[in-house]
Amino acid sequence: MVCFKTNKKLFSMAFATSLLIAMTIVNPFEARSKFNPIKFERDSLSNGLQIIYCVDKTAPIVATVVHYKVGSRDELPSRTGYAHFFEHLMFEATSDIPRASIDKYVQEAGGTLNAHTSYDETVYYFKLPANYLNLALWIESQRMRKLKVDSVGVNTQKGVVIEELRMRYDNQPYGTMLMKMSERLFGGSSYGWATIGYIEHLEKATIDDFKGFYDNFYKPNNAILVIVGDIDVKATRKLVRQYFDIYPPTEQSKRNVFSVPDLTKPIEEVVNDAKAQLPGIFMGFRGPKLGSPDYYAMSLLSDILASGESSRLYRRIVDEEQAAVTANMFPLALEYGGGLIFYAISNPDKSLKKIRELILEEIEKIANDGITDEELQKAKNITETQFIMDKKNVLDKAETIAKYFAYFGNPNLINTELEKYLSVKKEDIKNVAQKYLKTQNYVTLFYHPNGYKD
Amino acid sequence: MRKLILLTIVLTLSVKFMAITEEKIDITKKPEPLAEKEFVFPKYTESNLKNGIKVFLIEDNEQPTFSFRILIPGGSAFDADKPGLAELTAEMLTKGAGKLTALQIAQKLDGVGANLSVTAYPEYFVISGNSLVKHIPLLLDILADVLLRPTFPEEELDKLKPRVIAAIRNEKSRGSSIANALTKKVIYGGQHPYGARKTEESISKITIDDIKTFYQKYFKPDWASLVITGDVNLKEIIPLFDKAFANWKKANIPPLTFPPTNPSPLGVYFVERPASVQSSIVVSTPTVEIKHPDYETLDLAASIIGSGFAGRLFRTLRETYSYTYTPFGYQTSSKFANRFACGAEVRNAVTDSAIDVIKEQLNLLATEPPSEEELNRIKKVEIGHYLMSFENSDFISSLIQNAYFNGIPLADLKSYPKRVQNMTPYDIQKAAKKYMHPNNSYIIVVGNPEVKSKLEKFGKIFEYDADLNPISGEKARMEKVSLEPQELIERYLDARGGKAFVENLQTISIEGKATLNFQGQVVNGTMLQKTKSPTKQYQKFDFGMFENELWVNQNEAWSRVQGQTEKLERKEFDKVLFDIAINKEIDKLGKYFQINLLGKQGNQILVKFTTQNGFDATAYFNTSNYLLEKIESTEDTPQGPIPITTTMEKWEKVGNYYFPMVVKNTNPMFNIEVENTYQLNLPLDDSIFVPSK
Repeated sequence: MVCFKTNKKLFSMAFATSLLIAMTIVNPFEARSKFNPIKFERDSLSNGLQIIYCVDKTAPIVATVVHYKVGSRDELPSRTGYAHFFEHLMFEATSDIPRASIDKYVQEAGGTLNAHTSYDETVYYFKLPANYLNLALWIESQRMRKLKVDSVGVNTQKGVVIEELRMRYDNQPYGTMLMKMSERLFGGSSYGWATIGYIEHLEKATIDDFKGFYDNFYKPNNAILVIVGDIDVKATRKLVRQYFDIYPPTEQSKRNVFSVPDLTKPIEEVVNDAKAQLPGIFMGFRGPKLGSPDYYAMSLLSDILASGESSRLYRRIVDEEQAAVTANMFPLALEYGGGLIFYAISNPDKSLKKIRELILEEIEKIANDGITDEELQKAKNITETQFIMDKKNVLDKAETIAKYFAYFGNPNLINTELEKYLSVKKEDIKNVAQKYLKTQNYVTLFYHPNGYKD
Repeated sequence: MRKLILLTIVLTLSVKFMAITEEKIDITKKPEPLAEKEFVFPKYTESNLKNGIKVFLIEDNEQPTFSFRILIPGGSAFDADKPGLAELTAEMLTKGAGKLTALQIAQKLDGVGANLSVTAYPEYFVISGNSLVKHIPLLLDILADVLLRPTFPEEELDKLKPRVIAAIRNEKSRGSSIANALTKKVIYGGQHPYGARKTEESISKITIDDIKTFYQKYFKPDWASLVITGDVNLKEIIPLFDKAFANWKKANIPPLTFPPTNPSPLGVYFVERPASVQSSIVVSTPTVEIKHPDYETLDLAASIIGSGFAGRLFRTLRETYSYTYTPFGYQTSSKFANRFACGAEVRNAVTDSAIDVIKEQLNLLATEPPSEEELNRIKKVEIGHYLMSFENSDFISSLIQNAYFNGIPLADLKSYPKRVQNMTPYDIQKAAKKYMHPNNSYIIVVGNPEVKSKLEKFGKIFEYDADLNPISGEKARMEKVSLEPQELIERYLDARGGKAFVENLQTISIEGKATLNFQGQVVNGTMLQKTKSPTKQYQKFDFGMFENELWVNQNEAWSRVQGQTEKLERKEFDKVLFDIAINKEIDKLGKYFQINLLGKQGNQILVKFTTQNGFDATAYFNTSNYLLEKIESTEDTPQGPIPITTTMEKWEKVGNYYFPMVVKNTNPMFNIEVENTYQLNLPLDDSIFVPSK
């Protein structure tokens, strides 16, 4: 529960409680709004694999997530794109699964599958009718240690990834943003390139390079397996042992451990983007690390700045000044550092530089004057609603549990992390605004369409 | 005693051993599924509000959440001559209502983390909202204001328009969005609700009075429905909606109907996107309305082509060729008309190869039933997706509401898996042949100008700009040419060799090496053509398995295809006559045809030739040397008219006259390329110009 320390807070709590009582009379639903905690069981094998089971019998389905602790930040600056490349290669072949059969098996079972890669993690997931749980476990077991890293699979997926790169970065408006922002905002650290990497590194990567990467990161002690759905936990424990106990313990994966050097000067770049029809501005600030105390305050500040049409950025920049058609921001919270990306898209008759001034003014206001009680309550309500609504589907739950386990070693955060948000105070928000946003040292990327002048 | 001990040991051992064998699984083998668990269609209850609105409720007590979705038939179907009107009306509902300003509405909703949005679709409006259960009273209060008491402040419209216009521009910056919008336009017609597209111009013209009138007329409960999901029951929630909608009364709105579609001619629809490194390709055919008996079969056929990892395009375009990252294929699910569409984003250099692969796959499906194995896999995918969505109550409630809107019995939702299970490979092939045949498909490409020439082999190219306005062909923006039609014909004649060309040339004999390209298969053959004045010609294409002969004897002409001789009449005869006139009797063009000089486009002059029999061809002459470069015409086929493009290339001198060394003939079904060798004034016997008996 939230614990208030000062008298002032006690007073405001008392005030809030009486309001609550007043509301209960007219609102019959008040009592029915408690988050239903999610129950789960922990398990582990001698080879280091960590497992979580969670029963949800809404429908006879099951979701499995295997979270590998490897991301683009574990690559060498001269050999980028490997983590994401494995996200593709892991669907090719293993010693016992023929090429390109994994998706076929899963689809034949009526299931779905996918995967994602980021700076810090690579995550694979299946959703299947519950009676195909063993299929999911078999495939995950196979590709955890028995993946075929050979020329056929590697060459096919190189072609596919290079097309993905073209589609994402070269053919979309503002497509180079994430790459440029990673380079500028996290330069000099292992976050200094976008997850997908650079074409030339992938082109020259050898089979041995990939094998080395696989052997270092794809093994039981670097993975978390989460199973959520219509399962019998006892029987599932047995199945997990059958499929994963075959692998012996190995040495720990060698991951990059680093700190991100501070930004020491303002950085700005004009990007001429013939694919864009509208000018865009992207401003990157450094932000708090995932799970740090500042992280929760910054998350609420993001809601105050950017959630909904009552948010500060929308009201000022889009509505009052009509300087942009969208104005938004999102935090990028990573294991060894963080970022805050502000962005706005405007019509071509508007100035991006003017938008930057407005964004800086809004930041300045919060850093100097802080926020209102209503704003704090709003941010907490938005967080509470999203927190609860995101925890209904088996796959959402499995991914969230895996994340909490991977980064904090504490899967129970799925039930308790909300409290960390709800205990943020007004001053905390002012403090993080001052600490992270009141600085000259940030990155600005101006995207200019053809013929745009600013 | 010892015996006993021994026995115990043996027993224990064997029990242990048995236990091990029982548990031991061969981890090199794909496991058999565990015991199946039954999927039960989620429970829902039905009711009505006092004003007649149909209500469906799915109780879901997993978390204290609440959501609703109101569907009002109408939407942009009623835009008429103001594309974007329904959308602006929908957006404006939350920009001021009752005593609340736009900002106050946003503050109240954001303040409790609730969402409320109004969206216009071609067939209906959707008003949807969600919140935690404890915020239901607040959410429904705002809903009532927004739906029943919008104030439509003028200044909010002024602020909204630039944002909508920006969204239009942003959409224009994405190749795939342009391709999708153009697909709808060519399949349904630019005036049809499914094909119409709002533009910067149409948005800027809409006034606040347009919006008020539109709202008054169409936001009525007559045909509306409401679905609710969450941790609530009917008894408590219905009265709250009744109270919110107490003043929302029916207005005798007739049921929604749609006009018939108005498709464009088959061909290649191309939009230039100069900075593209990839082409956005869509290959599309019109299918059927959602209640049509073939609809679900087509859904399955579409999935065979494009369903995610299992689809044929994924297997070929992505996994065999690495042409693309994201191939797709689907059938739309609208009430009155639908389309099948498939395609991908591919790099410039493989644009035409990717289309070849797509057409080959479509052709394969139309000609050969899929294997039982492949079909079963797709069935499992479809049924699996359907059953697995049962955990998502919002999805199920939308499914129920859409079925209700489409007039589909709700019992059909429960029996869907069984119907899919019963489809046969032959059903699929039959449906694919009828509605997804590559010969009847539209090809839409948005890409770099450099890829355009590679698309000619797929049929007549219609060029559009990113606003979907045609910019080539007959509707093109054209410069004026200060030439009379007759002058142009004379210059063309001069270019071929002057008056002597018609006066001294008695016969032209051509022997050609012909190459037929038919759905990826290449067949070599020969072409023979003998022409003699006045207006006599014999022509033969021979590809071994396929022969085609033509005889022209002044006022009469015959063709023979596969042993079948037929006399050509009217339009068909005019076509043959045009061919002779444009290639030999150039001085007679003005006599046989009405000539209309359309204008200049790039370095070509466009001239239209017509007859009163319905013959119609457009010829493209080079502006500097006046030689003929291209002819566009149409051919009537059992599948309807198809466009044909003939190009003349490599003009060279033969004797004193100029002739094209290469002639290419392109239509959506096949291409023929002929390399010609000419002999002039060989004696030709008149008997060869009539078919032998």
